[in-house]
Amino acid sequence: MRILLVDDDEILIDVLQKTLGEKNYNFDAVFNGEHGWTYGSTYNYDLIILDWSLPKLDGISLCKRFRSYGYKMPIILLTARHSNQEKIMGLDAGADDYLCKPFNVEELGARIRALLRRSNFNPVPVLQWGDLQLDTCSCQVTYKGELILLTSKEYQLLELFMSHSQEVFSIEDIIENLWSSVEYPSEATVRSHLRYLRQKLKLVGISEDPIETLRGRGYCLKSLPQDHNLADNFLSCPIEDRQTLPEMFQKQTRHLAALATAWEKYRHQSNQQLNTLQETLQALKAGELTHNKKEEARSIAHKLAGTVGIFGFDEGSNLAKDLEQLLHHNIEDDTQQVLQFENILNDLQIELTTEDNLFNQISGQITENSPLLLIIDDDQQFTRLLKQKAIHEGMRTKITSSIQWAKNWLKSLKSYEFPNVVFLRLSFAESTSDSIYVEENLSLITELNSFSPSIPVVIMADRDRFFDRLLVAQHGGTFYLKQPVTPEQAINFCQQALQRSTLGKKVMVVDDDVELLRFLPSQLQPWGFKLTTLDDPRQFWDVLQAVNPDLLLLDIEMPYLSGIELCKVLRSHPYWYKLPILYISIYTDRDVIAQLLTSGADDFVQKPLGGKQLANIILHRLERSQV
Amino acid sequence: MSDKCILLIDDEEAIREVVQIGIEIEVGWQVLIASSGIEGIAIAENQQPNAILLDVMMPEMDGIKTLSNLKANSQTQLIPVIFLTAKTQAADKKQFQNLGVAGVITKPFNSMTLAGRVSKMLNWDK
Repeated sequence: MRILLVDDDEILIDVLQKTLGEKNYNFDAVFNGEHGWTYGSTYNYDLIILDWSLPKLDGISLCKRFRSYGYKMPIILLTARHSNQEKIMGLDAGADDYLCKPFNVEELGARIRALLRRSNFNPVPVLQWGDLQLDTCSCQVTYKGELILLTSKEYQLLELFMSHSQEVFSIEDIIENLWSSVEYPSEATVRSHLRYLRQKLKLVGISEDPIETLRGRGYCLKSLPQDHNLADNFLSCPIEDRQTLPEMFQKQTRHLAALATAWEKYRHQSNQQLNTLQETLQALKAGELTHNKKEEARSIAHKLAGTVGIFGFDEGSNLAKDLEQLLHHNIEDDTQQVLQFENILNDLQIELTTEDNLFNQISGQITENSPLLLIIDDDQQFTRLLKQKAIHEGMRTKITSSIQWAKNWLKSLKSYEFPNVVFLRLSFAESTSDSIYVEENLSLITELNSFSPSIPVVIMADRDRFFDRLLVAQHGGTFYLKQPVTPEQAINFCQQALQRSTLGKKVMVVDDDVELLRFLPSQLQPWGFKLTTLDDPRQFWDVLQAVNPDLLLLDIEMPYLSGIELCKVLRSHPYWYKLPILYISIYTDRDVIAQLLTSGADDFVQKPLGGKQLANIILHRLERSQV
Repeated sequence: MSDKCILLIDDEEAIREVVQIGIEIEVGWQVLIASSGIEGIAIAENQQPNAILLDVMMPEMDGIKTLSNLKANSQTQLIPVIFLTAKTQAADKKQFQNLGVAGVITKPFNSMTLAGRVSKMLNWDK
């Protein structure tokens, strides 16, 4: 958390920097109001502490100026003025809190935490990710009650991710948030703090890395883990099952299997390369690194960066690049750099032995936007297989054996978090003496059907009687399957049910890339979208009005008219201004993307496009617009 | 597009294998393999591939030297060449493009989307 302190009392500043610095806050301190304005309007602060009486510009005027320019960060006035009138004046000037000098530092700390919680929409002082807890009052991090000792920067990193669970942070964003304006850490330094944090979390037994690396974008807090990741599922999936997957996924499966085989072969070579780098390290330490040996090591680090990256070891690739970079310098003359080399090399060795990193390219396709399947079934073996199939098909899953639990869970969700489809096992035969059981199940189907948009339900029943079918149909069940049903069939029907719910949704794509327009229908059709493609933006207006789409995909750079221009036209139109618009482009730079989105689009999809990934993003956006 | 033939010149066995996997599985093009510039030039002369994927950093004859030999050879000068490189600086890429390559693909790349990127660079998708 980054705080700006504006006070002309240098002793007070020293005290605050020391005591609150121990609570892992980063401070910039300035001594007059004009400097306060310059810093506050230039950098992003989570909170500002202002004295009332300041040289050049007083605290009240500065506070008013921040508010009149639209700055919303919390402001605490810290002043020797005690009267009620002055407190009212301070709060009316836009301050969020008012504390009289002399004050208790602990109280100031508590007020800072309270304001930060409010501005970050975290009403509780303890941030939680599964069993991982971060207590912002005591600055302690625990996993299953066990204390994790973190350095100040590691703590700050974790707090940043946990308190902004929906945000992606690039390295620049992290620096902006966690370092003061006078510090300029290198990207490698930030990455190394991240690595240490991840290692410590792993050491206490957190099997799934809470921090996700998004290639080309940055880092974010991962959605809470499901039981198995895609690689586990892929490897544990029997070959005969894989052959029943649709053609697209068969190809993906073949691709993965071939990559896994190739990695098996290459692993040995990468170990040898790591050994050479180890020898380089020993030579460095002994002061015996020759020019040739250094060049050889640099070449090896360079090759490693390229090769491990294509197997999905993104972090490993970054580490190898860091090693290569160090070997460009006079590392042999700098003991600090030698130490850095050693640390990075250790990290790289660990990274390359972590099998989970393999297939990163694929597992990235299951995202928070992927359709969510709720499975209500007490047969653990079947649900495990069902889950594997669902993940293969790009769906997230939530499993429960209790209808009551499912009902309570649904009540706790916000509407945009609802599952997209539900699979429900219904045992009519076993429940002949228990009519409440059947009624509870049927009432859940009715409830799911009453949502807007309604949530389709696939029922797997143990008998096939017309009356049972009628009951289920009357309550709004989407499909009634009679056992035995294979997991493939069940997921297939869940997909069909999902398609029904999106059936007929009209998506219009404007892109001058004719090959993409040819490719998209085959990718999006299985999801039930009605697709209209247009490669000439000059016909945009006529086609738009004729089609009346539910969602629009716009390429950014096109001849004659850009996607940005089209978007601006729609956003100023009384009928079209609410139409969900997604940009599609090759841009990867976060700043450029942020700039592009200011023109009014709802989201950005990066080329090359994966059909499944795109479908998920469209589904997600359509759901949000319906909400 | 399935009748295309690509020559890959890269001294890294792992890269050769992954590129081959990506291209053959995703689009079914034939992939010819060379582990050095000299071998690549010989294959290009004999087999006349539709395009060449060329690693920049190779021992002995590097990618830039290999490219200049390909361009100087009347039998290979018209074959489009795409550089594969770990160099990511804009200045490097610009320098490569000035040498007359059809495109530059940065390592590491995603083997699943590689063929699509090659197609796009060479306008095979039009």
